[in-house]
Amino acid sequence: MTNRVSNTKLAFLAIIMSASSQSAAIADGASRVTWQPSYSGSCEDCSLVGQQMPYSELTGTRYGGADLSHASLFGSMAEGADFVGLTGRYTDFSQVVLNNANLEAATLTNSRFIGAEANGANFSGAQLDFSAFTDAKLIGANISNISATHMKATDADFSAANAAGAVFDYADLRQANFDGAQLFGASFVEADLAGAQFRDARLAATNLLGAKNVEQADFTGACRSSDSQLPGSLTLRLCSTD
Amino acid sequence: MLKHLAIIAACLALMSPLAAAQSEADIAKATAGHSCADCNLFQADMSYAQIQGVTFAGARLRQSNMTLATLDRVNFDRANMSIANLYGGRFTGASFKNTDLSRAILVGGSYDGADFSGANLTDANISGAEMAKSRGLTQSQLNDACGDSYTRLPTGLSVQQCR
Repeated sequence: MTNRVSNTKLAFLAIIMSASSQSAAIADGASRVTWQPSYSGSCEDCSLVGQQMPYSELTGTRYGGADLSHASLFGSMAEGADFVGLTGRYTDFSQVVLNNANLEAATLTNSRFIGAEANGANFSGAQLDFSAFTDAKLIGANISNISATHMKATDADFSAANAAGAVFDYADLRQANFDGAQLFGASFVEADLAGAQFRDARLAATNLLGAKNVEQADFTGACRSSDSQLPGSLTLRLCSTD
Repeated sequence: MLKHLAIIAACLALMSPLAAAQSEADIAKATAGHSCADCNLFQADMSYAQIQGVTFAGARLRQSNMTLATLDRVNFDRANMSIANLYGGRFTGASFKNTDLSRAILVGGSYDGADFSGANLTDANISGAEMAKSRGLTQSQLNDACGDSYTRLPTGLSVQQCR
């Protein structure tokens, strides 16, 4: 893989684990999967626009402020990576493992996270408008204050996530799972909730007015506050204050 | 009586190409990544497909689903893509010359270098679409479409907000 990174601040080390292969994850017969090539160190504030980096090993790397727009990280391993303030418009994070990664305040509009695994990741304040999270897992993730208008997140798992202040207006959330999620002040205007699950979710100050197919979602055990904006057909108990 | 039957038969013969059902064989061929010009791909599910450099020129792709597909450099010239769903698709260098995209959903898609010369965008939704580097777009076309503040268009062009 050729890295045409010209940023003088670059302290980026790419270690090609195998000189003969740029491609896919390889099972070694013991069901272990390796990711190649492997990157370590940091690439903060550098430009990797359009770079093709599928199946890379990015665990623990630091890409804060970098520009990965139109790049592909498909299938990569990036657990615990630092992507704070990253710009990633039209970036392909599909099938990427992002558990406990930090994507706070990242600009990720129109990006793809199809089938990604981002349990415990921090997306706080990220711009995720028009992004695709189909089949993604964000269990216990921090998605507070994200802008996720027009997001497509069918079958995504946001259970136990902190989605306070998140804006899901016009999002496609069919069969998405918000069980046990904190949705204080979240907005779902025109979002499609057919088959979505909100069991035991906290919907305090949440706006569900104008959401579509609310009657087809499961709100068992969910609670609201006095200023929640809910359709008349949805009756919830008040949340406890503890 | 015979005359009436002949007229009915003639009418049916004229109508049949329009009324013909989509071809499952052609849809399978197209979704497998092969060219299929002038094919009947009505309601074809090409979501998430990754196809490059083929031609669907003149094809009937009305109500097809190309959600999150990657269809770089694909030729859709003169195709009927009315009411098609192209949400989040990538169409770098694709050609939509004289294509019917009326009522199509182009929301959040990427159209760098795509050619829209003569395309019909009546009631098409281009919210969040990246079209700043698209070619052949005119204000007249865009006056019939709608978008939002995220829509990126070539310098000097604009689109009304979707309601």
